[in-house]
Amino acid sequence: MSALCLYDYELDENCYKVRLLLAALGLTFRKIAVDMFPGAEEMAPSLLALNPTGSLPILQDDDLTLHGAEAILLYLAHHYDPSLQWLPRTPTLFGQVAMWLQFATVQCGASVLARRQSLFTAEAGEIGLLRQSKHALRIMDDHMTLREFDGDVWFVGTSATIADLALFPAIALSRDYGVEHEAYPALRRWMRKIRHLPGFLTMPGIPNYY
Amino acid sequence: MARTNDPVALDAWYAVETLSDVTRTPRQTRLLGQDIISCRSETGAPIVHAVGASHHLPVRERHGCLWTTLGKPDREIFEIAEAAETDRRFVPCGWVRLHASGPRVVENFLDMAHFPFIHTNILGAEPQTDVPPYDYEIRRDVDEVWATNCRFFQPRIAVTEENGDFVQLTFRVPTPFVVMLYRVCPSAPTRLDVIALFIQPMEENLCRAQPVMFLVDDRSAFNELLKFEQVIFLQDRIIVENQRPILLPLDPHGEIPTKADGSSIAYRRWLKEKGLRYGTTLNKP
Amino acid sequence: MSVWYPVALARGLEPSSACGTRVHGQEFVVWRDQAGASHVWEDRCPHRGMRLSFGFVRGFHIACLYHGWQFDAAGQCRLIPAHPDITVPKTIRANRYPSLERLGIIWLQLPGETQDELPSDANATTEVRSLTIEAPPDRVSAEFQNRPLARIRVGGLPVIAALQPLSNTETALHLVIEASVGATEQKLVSVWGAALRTRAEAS
Repeated sequence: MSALCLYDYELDENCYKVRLLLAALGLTFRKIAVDMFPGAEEMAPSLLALNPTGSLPILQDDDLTLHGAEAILLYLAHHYDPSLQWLPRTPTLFGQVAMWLQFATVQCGASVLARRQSLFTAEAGEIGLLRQSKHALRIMDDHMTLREFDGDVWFVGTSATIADLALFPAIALSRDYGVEHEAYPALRRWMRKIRHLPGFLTMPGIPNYY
Repeated sequence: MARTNDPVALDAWYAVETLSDVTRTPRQTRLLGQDIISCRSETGAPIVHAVGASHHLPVRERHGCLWTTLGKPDREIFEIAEAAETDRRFVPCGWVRLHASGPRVVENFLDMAHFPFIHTNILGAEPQTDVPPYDYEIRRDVDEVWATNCRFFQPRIAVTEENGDFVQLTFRVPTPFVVMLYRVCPSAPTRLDVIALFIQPMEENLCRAQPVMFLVDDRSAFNELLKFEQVIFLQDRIIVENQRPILLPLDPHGEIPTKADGSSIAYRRWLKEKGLRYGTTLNKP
Repeated sequence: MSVWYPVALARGLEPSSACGTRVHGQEFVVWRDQAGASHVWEDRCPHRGMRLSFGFVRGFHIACLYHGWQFDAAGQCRLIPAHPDITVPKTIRANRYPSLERLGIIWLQLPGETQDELPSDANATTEVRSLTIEAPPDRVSAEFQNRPLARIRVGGLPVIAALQPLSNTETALHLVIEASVGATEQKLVSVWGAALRTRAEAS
């Protein structure tokens, strides 16, 4: 009986990163649907007790409680991946994965906010953080352009890692905040590879057919 | 930003907030190009006024939402008989902004042929893509568009069900910016679930919309019901935002309907008869 | 009279894939079928106007994401999933444009004010990248003495630079090395292109 429990919101991209890895690892887990919108349930006392930052996802594994999508990816890859592919242990690759995880949290954070505003604001004006969101996507496309010259198709190393999963939603969901895929040809090809990973699933904003 | 001068659009009621969200703290949004502010007075009564104006706009509290108008509607807000049934679950799914025209959103809600491709393994799946013939009409007595005897094979017919079956649906368009469906409730086949979509046009190419449900299901967790409908609604967003032109074409050229598009044909004819310019290509070069 | 516009690098468009692009704000879908032929069409399904660049390619046809309508390489709609048994009328078709592949680039032909011709093909090409530059086409074009297709030297390498005016404010630049070379050379030209992008956007 799996002790893994994910506090999850189906439309949240940070939860989606964790759902992708859980599926890729073939892990069984209990999914608790949280009413993040419109209910802001992640700010309710019962969930703040688990995660004082008032955010999702939250992962529980027996007595362990973790928040932060990238931290959860690290934990799951470290603990549940006997192949060692999702979180390589060699120092160079480990360092690169860590770098891109931080990029996903910090630089791609603009995309999370831009998307949230585009989806849920009641106001009619231009949404913010578009320049910053596009800047992060450009850095990602520049990186994958150079990688492709060497015949590499993943952000780090020679197979998919949690870095790829952490970076995927920012571009995959970019149309949610009005940014087309036209300017990111290397990322388009990389996204098609992600779709073939084991257990891949979509979320609204990512078409089922491609 | 400029308020529209289209009388067909102005002289109608629009839901602009969920009632439980309306508090003493003012909330601003835009309706038909006009910025408006909603809040509650000291007595608790909801107030809406246009930004830059002090007089209060007409308001109504109906179907869990705050409604207002910038014009002079010739009728009251439509009825939803099922909403009055006391054993119903009322599930407001939250307001979502769409970079699309309101009428395009209505048409998407009326459409079944997209179920297998957009709501895959939820509302439909290949190879059962066939849309059986159904009936559609503009009901002149009530001035609404209705589509009846609609059926579609769904792999998972509702939250309570695991098996596939033909869902039976009726669609109703009581006003140009509201669309509803009635679904035979699988767990109580003599009753109908009601899912309504209230659309607040902000600009001709921008709107807010909230699915609102009045459900018979008394067993499923609220969050599961919410998730089921939110996923479906958000899956449609990428479609309506990427139709060209953004505004709904009301002349027959350029877009080719099939028999499965009967309700959309009726809806477009109805809008053209009304002369709705806002959100459509009517009278535009 | 017609003008040829570069719209994508050939190798960058994988078989059974589609993407969207623009020329002077007009939207196009560029897709490649499983046999490897590329096509450039108006980015709009004739049914309900859904952009075909969101479509999915199966075999020799592209299907619209919205209702799955299938269009063959001639632009003819062949299957409407909502009515799978009907023969689709010939009038239901997507709007195609002339296109071809040359110099490692996919070109689209549009009516224009001048009559231009593509240069002849090269013996060997190595594709580098397509850059999107947030600068007006005139500004990017000035980097190449206002030639929409320029042959230049980058680090001693013969490079083709082809400009695509996406809109009034954005330009795509397609870079191809006119020789058979490897990753080292590709990276050199790619970095050069990124520097040009920075320069054009700063001014």
